[in-house]
Amino acid sequence: MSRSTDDLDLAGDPTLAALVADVRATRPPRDPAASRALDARVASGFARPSAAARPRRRRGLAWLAAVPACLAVLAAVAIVVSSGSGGEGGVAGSASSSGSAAGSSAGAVAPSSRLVARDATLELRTSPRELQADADAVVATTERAGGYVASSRVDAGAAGGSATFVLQVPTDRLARTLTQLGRVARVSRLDQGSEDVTAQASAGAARLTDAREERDALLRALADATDRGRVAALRARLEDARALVARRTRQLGEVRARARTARVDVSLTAVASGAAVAPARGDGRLTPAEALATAGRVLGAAGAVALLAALLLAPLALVGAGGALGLRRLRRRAREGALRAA
Amino acid sequence: MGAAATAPPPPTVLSFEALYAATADDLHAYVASIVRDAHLAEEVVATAFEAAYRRRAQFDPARGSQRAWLYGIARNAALDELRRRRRRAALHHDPVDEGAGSAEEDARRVTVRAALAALDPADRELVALKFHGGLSNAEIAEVLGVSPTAAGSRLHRAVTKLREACA
Repeated sequence: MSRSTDDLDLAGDPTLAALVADVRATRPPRDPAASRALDARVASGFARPSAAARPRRRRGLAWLAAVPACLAVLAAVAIVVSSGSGGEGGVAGSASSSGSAAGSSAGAVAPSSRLVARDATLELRTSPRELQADADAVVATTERAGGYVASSRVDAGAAGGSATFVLQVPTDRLARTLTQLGRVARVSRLDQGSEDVTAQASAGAARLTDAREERDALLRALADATDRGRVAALRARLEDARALVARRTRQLGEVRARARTARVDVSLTAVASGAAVAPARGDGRLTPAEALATAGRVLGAAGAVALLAALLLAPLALVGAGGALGLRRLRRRAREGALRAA
Repeated sequence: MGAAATAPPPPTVLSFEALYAATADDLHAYVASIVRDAHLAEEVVATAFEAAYRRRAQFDPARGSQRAWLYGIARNAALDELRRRRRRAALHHDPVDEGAGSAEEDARRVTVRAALAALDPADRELVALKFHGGLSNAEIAEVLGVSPTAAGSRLHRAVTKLREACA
């Protein structure tokens, strides 16, 4: 390898040339054994058993670096999921939940031993031309779900109209039924509520048992009674007891029926303005406008995630870069200090 | 007059073995001038070559010469070793056989050795980089992390001090 003495004029300065030669001559000799050992290590590519420790440490650092990325991904998933589930029970995203405590608890899964009464209010919008067909679809959907229309009223006119229904559907099919009803027409509002009636049912059952025991006791007393007056009195009491048993049986049945079937109030409103109403979506497919809106929401959520990640990571990155720079400067200063002290 | 005619030739990148063979002795002399201990210099040189070997894929010819890169690694290793040992090591290498040359040469080298020992460590490092390592001013600048102009100025001052001390 050539030696450079760029701006030093050795040829034109014999004194300098001699000085350079003398300096070079003062170099300490190398230790032959150490030199041979290093030759061998170079030839073997510095093979050493402890080399495996370095990649492991680096993997650990890489894992630490992945933590913010994992947090960002989790945040992204949370945001996308929360923004994407606009409706309850699989109803289209345009449906709105009331947001009340009852509404929020409606989706909760009750233990099988508990009785939960559920109800829902669904508001649909359609065009006057499709009002009747959509009303028929509401009825058909209810019947397919194993429910029935408790009451209905349809007022159709050229300029608009409306229809209202009170539906009773099996509680365990409520969510699916709401989803299917949401496909009949555009959902403008959806409220759901729930009430735990387990205590009511238990109390009703206990009261019924008491009434039955009283009735049975009266029957036994009547069988043993011989006095005409007492017999008449027992029969009167027995009649009351039977009425009480019947009433409490009915009450208990009503409570249990509330848990078995859910009431759904459906209102279907026909709006004359075509711009305000999206076409009915009987096939469940998105319209281009809805697809565009959905894409916009997804992009918005993605942007929010990116912004959140940037807000979280940028300060960390700045602190890290500043720390690394500071450490580098400190180390350099320490090295220069070591040289000065040498 | 195309650019290709005036462009400098691409720097030659040696294999690691060739780089080692070409620089080991010079690097040892340079490191010894910093740590002032020939045996410690052997350890530091071995450490530096091993570090260079493991980082050889990171060397970028566009950012500087291979020698400057290697000397930079060796410099850091030497200074880190000095910091660890926290001592001012005396030069323990075996005395050079001053009788190899004429009496005048021997006397002159004793003077030079004393003058080098009396130099400021930074100046002594510059002299070692230049005369032991044979680095250009640009390469010295790269090793020290200063501009080539600053490296040239400092080197000129160091050589002047050395000449004055030897006069």
